[in-house]
Amino acid sequence: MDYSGIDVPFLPKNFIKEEAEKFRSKFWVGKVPVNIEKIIEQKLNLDIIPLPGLMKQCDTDAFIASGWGAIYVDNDRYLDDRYQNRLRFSLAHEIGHLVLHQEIYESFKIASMESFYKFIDQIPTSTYNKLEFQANCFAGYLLVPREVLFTEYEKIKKQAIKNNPELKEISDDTLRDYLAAQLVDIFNVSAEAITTSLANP
Amino acid sequence: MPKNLQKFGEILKSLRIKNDLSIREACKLTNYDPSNWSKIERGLISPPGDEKVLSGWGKLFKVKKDYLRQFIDEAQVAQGIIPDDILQKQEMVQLMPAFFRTLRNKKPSKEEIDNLINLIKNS
Repeated sequence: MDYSGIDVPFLPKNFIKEEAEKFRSKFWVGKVPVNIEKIIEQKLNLDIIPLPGLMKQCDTDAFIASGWGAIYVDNDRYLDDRYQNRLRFSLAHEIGHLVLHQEIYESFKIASMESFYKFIDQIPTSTYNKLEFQANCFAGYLLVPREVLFTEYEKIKKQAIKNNPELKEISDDTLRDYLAAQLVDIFNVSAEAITTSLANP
Repeated sequence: MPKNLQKFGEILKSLRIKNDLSIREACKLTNYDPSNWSKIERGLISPPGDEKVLSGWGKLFKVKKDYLRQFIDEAQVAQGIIPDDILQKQEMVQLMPAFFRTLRNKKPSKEEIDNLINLIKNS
């Protein structure tokens, strides 16, 4: 198969949001933070396999195997508390591939190592980027439920303006960036993921 | 995969899940390497033979005293068996990433794929 001309469908953000919300309501009844590790192991019955050297030798911290039975993670990052928020996002990103792209991947019919190498080599960067962007979007919607996000954001915004009335004068965008870090511990994702989520309701 | 290793791996995993612990949490609490823990659960390597270590795991999983002995015995039965090569059992291509983006936001290079294959072979 020639992979150089393949393209994948554009998925509207609203569609990805709905898929993430459906997934969350099916597999996670608890509050935030969403425990993605438990969903993967206990609800989806996928293995999480720590792999020493993954980050150093392959420049990635996680990937889902194409047999869809396991997610490999970098061994050091898996154990290191400083990377937990980042790793949680990566795990949710891989679940995004599982939910959104499993059928697409199967249609590529990669049945040998030769075709796997060919696939990586030939798939257009724009197609690859689209798939990665969609998986990122899914991860953000899965780990940061917007209803909770905006409720919490309004609370801290109100408090921040009460403590410092000058904040009323600054733009919404700047204020979001300024306050995002205060929401990190509620969702256990990075401040960057919070900022992106606030900008993408 | 040798049956004894597989059996102990399944016991270990079910005890961990029953106690609502991730591999990371179990390894932090027992000071054990997560990669090796995962290999034991998948029946790829033998569990430790040291009774102290195994007792520690038993305590972590709150196993009853009479079952603790059985747990240690199961681990020791599984000892010393050289596992079959995982690749005889599973197609390598099934273990390859469906999608894999590097942190520098690029497709992986051939060298990175080759490195990955070596890592997976040893996982």
